[in-house]
Amino acid sequence: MSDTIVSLPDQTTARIPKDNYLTRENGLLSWLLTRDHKRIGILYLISITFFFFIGGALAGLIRLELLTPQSDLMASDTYNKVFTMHGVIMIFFFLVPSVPATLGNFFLPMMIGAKDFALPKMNLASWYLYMAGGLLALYTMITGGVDTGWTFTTPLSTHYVNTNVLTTGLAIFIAGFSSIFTGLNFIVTIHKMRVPGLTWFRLPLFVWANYAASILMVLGTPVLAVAIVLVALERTIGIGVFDPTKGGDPLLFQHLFWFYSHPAVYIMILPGMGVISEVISTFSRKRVFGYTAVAFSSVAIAVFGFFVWAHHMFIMGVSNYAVLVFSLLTMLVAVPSAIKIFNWAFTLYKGSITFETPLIYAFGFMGLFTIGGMTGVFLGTAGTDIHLTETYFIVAHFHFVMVGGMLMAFLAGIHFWWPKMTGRMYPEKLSQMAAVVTFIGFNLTFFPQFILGMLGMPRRYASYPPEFQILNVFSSAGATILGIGYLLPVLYLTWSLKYGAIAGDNPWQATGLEWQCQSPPLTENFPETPVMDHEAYDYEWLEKQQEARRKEAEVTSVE
Amino acid sequence: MSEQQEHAEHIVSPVVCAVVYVALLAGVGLTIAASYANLGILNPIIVLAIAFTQATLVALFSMHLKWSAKLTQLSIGACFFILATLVSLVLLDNVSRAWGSW
Amino acid sequence: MSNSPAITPETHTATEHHEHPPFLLHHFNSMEQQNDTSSFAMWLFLLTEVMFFGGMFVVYMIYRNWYYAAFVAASRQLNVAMGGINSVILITSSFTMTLGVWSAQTKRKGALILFLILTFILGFVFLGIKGMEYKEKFEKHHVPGEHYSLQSFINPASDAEAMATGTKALPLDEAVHTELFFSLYFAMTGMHALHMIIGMGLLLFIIFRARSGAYTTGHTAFVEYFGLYWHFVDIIWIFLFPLLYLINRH
Repeated sequence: MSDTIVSLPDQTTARIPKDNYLTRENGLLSWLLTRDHKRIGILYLISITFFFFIGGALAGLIRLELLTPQSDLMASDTYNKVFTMHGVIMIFFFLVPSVPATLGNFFLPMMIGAKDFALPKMNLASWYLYMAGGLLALYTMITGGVDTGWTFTTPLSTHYVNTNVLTTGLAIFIAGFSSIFTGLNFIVTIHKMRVPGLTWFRLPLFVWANYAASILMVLGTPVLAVAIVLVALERTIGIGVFDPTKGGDPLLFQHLFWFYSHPAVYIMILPGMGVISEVISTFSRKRVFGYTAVAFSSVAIAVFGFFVWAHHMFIMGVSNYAVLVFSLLTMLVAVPSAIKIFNWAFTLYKGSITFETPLIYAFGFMGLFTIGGMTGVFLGTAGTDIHLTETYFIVAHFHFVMVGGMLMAFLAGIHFWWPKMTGRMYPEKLSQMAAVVTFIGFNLTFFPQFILGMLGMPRRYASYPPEFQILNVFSSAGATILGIGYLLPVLYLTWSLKYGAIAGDNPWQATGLEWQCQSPPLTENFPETPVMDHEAYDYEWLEKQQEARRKEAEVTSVE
Repeated sequence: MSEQQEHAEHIVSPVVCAVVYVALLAGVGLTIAASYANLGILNPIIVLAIAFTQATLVALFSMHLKWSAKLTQLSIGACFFILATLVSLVLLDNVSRAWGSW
Repeated sequence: MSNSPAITPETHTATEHHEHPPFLLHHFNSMEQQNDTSSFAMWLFLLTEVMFFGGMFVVYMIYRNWYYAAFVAASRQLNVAMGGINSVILITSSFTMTLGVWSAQTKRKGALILFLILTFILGFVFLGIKGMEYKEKFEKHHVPGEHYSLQSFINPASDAEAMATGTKALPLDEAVHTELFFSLYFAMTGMHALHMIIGMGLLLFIIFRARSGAYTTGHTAFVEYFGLYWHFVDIIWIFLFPLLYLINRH
């Protein structure tokens, strides 16, 4: 691991550029009223980290309770509230905005050579809506919580619980608008504000991935909104839409809910896949294999993602014909994801690989997402799903794709773009170690859960038969290690803000437009509008650029 | 000023607006009339067809869609495709499970 | 440069500064790009509204199929005349709105203000009639919830509308489902009315700005986009009217 492509400027003479987006304006109001997409990205980064640790603390409570077979740490009702809030916070206030709202907000305009998004004020509004929803969700938690599970299944959520369903629903409704505004902004910007010469097929794959996720955000989220509104009306007035005693169909809620919530998982994972494309290309010094296939597969995942929602409802009472159709469609949606994994593998093949931290996270992603994705096939097969659904197998499946997949991709992205956002490098050895610790902790936490699920341990239960205890203990032990793995980056990244090495413009020698300007960037991103005359991931172009700069430096130093 | 230099903005003339207006009013009348006639299974079909025609007129002319960018038209198409997916697959479940009066 | 406030420098190639269109926002390169972009953004927003109302229409579709008889009986309780008049009013307001947009585009300030005010008045009348309808439903105990009454459906003789439309009595277990119809009626028309109220608030703002000539000096974007919103609300009603009022009138 002595081989590295990191190329830092001479640390004795290097300085952070005096004029950058962080120093251009000062004061709290310049942050709270900013229109600069980069500052908004940082605001989001701080807030989602905050919500992540709250969700993580709730996860810690869950694993603590599950150390013993009895529900001795908390009553079952409280346990229900803990896992519900864990789900709500992690999904709506961490995973959905994670990459798009932080890295996407920061880098998308730069990647297309624009000065900002098409609608900067809408971008800021999106953050305020996110904060409003998030704080409301926290308030709900403090004033009694909600215990229906994040899926708000009717008629439980409409008729049988007395907890804060309405306020949580409102919090999610508000956060949904935040998501819609982000997605809308992304779509419009990508279509209308690319620099001359930047055709669709020269875009970085990160942009394609965020574009696909944005389509899902814009078209899917309103249906969740309507589902929440109907639940609210049901709870307050008793309109009867989901009440069997009045002729309503509880399943109709689930159709509307999952029509959003399945595409939501693709909203969560697609931007992460975009990060992986960038990272794998940079650290194997090769263009992504099958660029067109990866680009189209992002859009394909988005489109097919709308067709499969009822695979969350196989045991809920949908008709057998619906089960058949949705099972078949679910098999289809696995194909584009697999295409991406193959393409990344072929990108690595015969590339010049160096094991910087982002690539370690990317490797973790590839392995863990593959396992998570393949177990999804077991769940998409209706027959096996009947046995595995609502057990820990499902819990393991979605944590493998969401945590082993998405969260690792998010960390890969944060580490990859940290030097550009802050101008500083983080300590490499420590970060590599943290990545490995995370990987080990993750596997120890969630792999036993596959076995537990197969053996029949139900999910969302505070107590379980004693024969399952040993696997649960492994899982909880892993959770502790995982927690350390997540805490370390927060610590050393914060440390690096003051003490990290100066990174320079392009420490990874990457090809994207965002790397062709100073670190941290200017408020207007580029001093002059860049011209795009090369393909994406064009390392030869990069070499020529670097040659030209070297010659220029020689000439000026001679003079 | 710069309006002539910018890409020619298509202005919908009041005459076109008025024609669309009259057509929409006719639609309202027709649909009420059709609903009072006993046409069996055709009733909901005719009424919906009239509504879709009215909506199309409003979209194409009043909302300018006829002269809008292809991108806009495509996006609307995509949206209706997704809505159609929701409708048809929920119907699929419904048809094979619980068709008709309970 | 580092001391200047955060205004981004312009990169368009116009050599003379006064050629810079006054309405061009600094992160755009030309008015064409700005207008194209904002128009697309507005349409995307309307698409989210389509999906939102679409979800409600799906719910309607299922229950109309399941409880057709109850839906027919309940639908006949609605007043076709009031609904029809409302349709005409809303369509007319759409017409006046298109004329308003035309006035803005042809720089006719007086006409613009007139048509905007007409649109507002028509919208107001629409909401007034809707309010009257809601009041009537409230008085007849057809509002879903605690005070919902099945009398009109199990005993049509007690109800003027039922007698007038020749609706037969429903057995009790079918009559119960009329409450679902009214739930959907209030939810869907209520959502529609909410969108109209928001629209009228925006309209007041636009009228106020139009009086100082904001939209008749070459930058008509806001009026056009509001027009799109208003037409969309009209389209929703175009579907709501037959689906709620005209289920079966023969």
